[in-house]
Amino acid sequence: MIYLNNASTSFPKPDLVINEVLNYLKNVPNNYGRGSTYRSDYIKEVRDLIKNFFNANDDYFNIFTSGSTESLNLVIKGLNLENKEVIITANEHNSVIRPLKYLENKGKINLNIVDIDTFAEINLEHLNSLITEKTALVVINAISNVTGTVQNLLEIAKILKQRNILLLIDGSQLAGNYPINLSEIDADFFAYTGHKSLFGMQGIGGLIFKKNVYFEPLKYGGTGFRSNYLYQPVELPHHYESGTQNIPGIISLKKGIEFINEVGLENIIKHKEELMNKVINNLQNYECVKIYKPAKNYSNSVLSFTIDNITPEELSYILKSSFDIEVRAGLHCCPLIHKYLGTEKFGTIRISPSYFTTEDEIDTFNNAISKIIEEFK
Amino acid sequence: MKLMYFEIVENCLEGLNVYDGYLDENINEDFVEKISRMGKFIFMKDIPKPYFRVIVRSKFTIKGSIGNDTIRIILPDGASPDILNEIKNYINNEN
Repeated sequence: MIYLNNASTSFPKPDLVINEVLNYLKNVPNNYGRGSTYRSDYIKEVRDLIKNFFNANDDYFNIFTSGSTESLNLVIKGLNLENKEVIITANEHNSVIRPLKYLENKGKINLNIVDIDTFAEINLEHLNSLITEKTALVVINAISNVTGTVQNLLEIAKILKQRNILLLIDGSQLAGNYPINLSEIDADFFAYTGHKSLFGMQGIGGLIFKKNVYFEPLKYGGTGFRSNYLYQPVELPHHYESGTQNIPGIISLKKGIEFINEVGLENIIKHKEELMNKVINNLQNYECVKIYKPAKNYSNSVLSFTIDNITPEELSYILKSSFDIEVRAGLHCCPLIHKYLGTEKFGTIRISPSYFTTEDEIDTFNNAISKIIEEFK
Repeated sequence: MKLMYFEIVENCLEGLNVYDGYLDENINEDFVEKISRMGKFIFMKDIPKPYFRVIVRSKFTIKGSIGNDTIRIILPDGASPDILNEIKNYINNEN
C-alpha cells in the first residue's frame, strides 16, 4: 500500500517512536502523581523540548491535550469572549469554525470571516477592515490543510498587536512541516497535534500559550497534585491538565520530535519538495487537471487538485481499490475555503507524502493518475 | 458469489447513504458482467485491478474493483435502505 494521507495522520511512525512506546507499555507505568514510580522531570523535559522546537521562550507554557481540536476549543471556550468579536479566515478547519459557530449561535459573540484569494492567502486589507474596538481574538490556520499555503504570521501578528488583539494560531499542519518562531511572532496561543507530521500517536497534542493570558480550563478534576484542595489548582500545568495524562502519547511526541531533530526539519522539507515537484510536473502535462497551490509561500506538505469529469471521491476510490494508494478526497473538514477555490461541490483530491515516502512510490502514483486520466478521456 | 452483509460508510462527500457490501469471494469478471446489466456501466480494464461502476439513475450507484471482496453502494440522500435488499437479491440470485 502507498500511503499519501499524512496530513490526516502520519504513517509509518519512526521505529524510535514505536519502540519507546512499546517499552513504556511493557513496564511499570509512570502515572504522574498517582504512584510511587512517576518521573515528573521526564514530562517537564518533553514540555521544554516541544517549546524549543517551536521557538517559544520562557514567556510561554506548554500543556498537553488530546490534540489540536481540544487545544482550540480550550482557548475559544476558555477566553471571556462574551459580547466580543472574533475573526477567523476562510482557511479554518471545523475545529475552529464549529466551537465559534456554537458561541455565535448562543448569541455570545459576533463572528467575522476574512476573505482569502484563490491560493488561500489571507486578504490583509480585509482583515484590517474587519477589526473593531470589540475584536478580541483572531484565529489563523498557519498552513492550509487544503492548499498548503503558508500565511504571513509575522505580518498578521503585527497588525493585531497594535490593537491588543489576541492571536490564536492553528498549527496542526505546520507542526513538523515548517519552522516557526513563536517568540518572534509574539503569538498568544499555538495549538498543535502530535499524530500528523510530529510522528506521535493519535490522542496527543498540546497548546503553547503566553503565561500572562488567562483562559478558563475545559476540564476540572484530579491532577495528582494538592488532592486535599477542593478547587481546581491554579498552578500550571495542573490548572489545565485534569485526568490521567496520556503518557504513551507524550512519549511518542517526544520521540517523534527527537526523530525530526535528528533528521533535520530542513531535510524533511527538502524531501517533500522533491516529491511534490515530481507530482506537479506530471499533473501539469494534462489540461484536464487543475492544481490548487500558491506560486510562493507553499509548504509542500499537501497538494490539492481536481481532474475534469472525475469527482475527487471517485478518483480516491479508484486509487484505493484498484491501485492500493491511499489519498484523501472531499472538503477536508475545511468547508469555507472551497468557495474561493471553486471546489465547493465536490472538494479536491489531496495528497500528502511524508519523510518516509519514496520516489518510487511517487512514480507509481504518477503512473496511476496518468492511467486514470487516459481511461476517462 | 454471494453478497453477505452491508456496512455503512461514513465519509465526506458521497452523502449519508453510503454502504460497503461484503462478498463471500473476490470479485471476478462474471460478477462484473452481471452487475453491468443493472444500468449505465463503465469499466476500466487496463489497470492493476480493473474498476467498474454502474449507475441506476435516481436509485443507486455500485462500484468496485476486480480482485476485491467489497463493493461500494451509494444511495441518494433520503433514499430508503430497502433498496439494499433489492441489490442483494439481484446479486445472490443465480441467474
